[in-house]
Amino acid sequence: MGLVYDAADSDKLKTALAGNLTTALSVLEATDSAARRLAGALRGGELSGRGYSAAELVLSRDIAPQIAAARDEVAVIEKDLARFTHEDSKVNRFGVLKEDELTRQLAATRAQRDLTERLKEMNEAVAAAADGALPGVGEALRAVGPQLELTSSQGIGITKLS
Amino acid sequence: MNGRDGESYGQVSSEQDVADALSHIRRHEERWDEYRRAMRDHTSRFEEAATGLGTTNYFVQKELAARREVDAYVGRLASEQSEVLTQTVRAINRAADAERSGDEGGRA
Repeated sequence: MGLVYDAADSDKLKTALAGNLTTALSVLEATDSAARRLAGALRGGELSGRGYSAAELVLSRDIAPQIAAARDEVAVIEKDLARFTHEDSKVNRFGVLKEDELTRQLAATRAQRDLTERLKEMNEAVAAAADGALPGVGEALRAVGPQLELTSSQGIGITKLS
Repeated sequence: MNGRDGESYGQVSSEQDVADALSHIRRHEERWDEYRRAMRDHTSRFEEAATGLGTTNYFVQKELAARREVDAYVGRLASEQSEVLTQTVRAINRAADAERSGDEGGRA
């Protein structure tokens, strides 16, 4: 089964992801702020002892880099969300898109375009053969060429969707 | 479209030329019939897929309406073309009859 796109689902996904990112950033900010306060207290001598020295080491060696790494991760997801939102804006108005059905419509449209092109060529060949021998017939057959061209161009809309 | 040259009707004068010209015109009529049928079949496939997409969707409705318009247009074109080809067959037959009458008159 092919992909199915649903604009409503997509909207929910964007809202949920944006909300989760905001929450994640807020948690990171709070953790960062607490860690900085703790590190300041440890460096300022408000807290002392071997246990606190070990905590300072853990803060500077493990926690601070992890907070920075988590911030970078959130920034990457934010960029992905922005890209998704941009691409989504191109198809959102279509509501629901189903890959299998659209592929079938595209195949039908291409087949019609090819049939029309082939008939146009054959029509022109018959018109050319009629020229001279059957007065007026060549022109009458040729007159349908632009109409077939129009028929062929009518089917292009769907290819813009794909 | 004489027996010597499949790409050209040449002068539609001999019996063989007339038979060839008529055969080519009929073949072309068949092509138009096949084209009409194949276009209809593909329109049906397009419509079936549209049902799967959901015909309450505005864009699906719009595409369907456009496709049905093209289908109706192709139907009209095929019908007009059939008329042109029918008239062509009549014209060829008339010319051949006139030729035969002339020949018979000349012999008499």
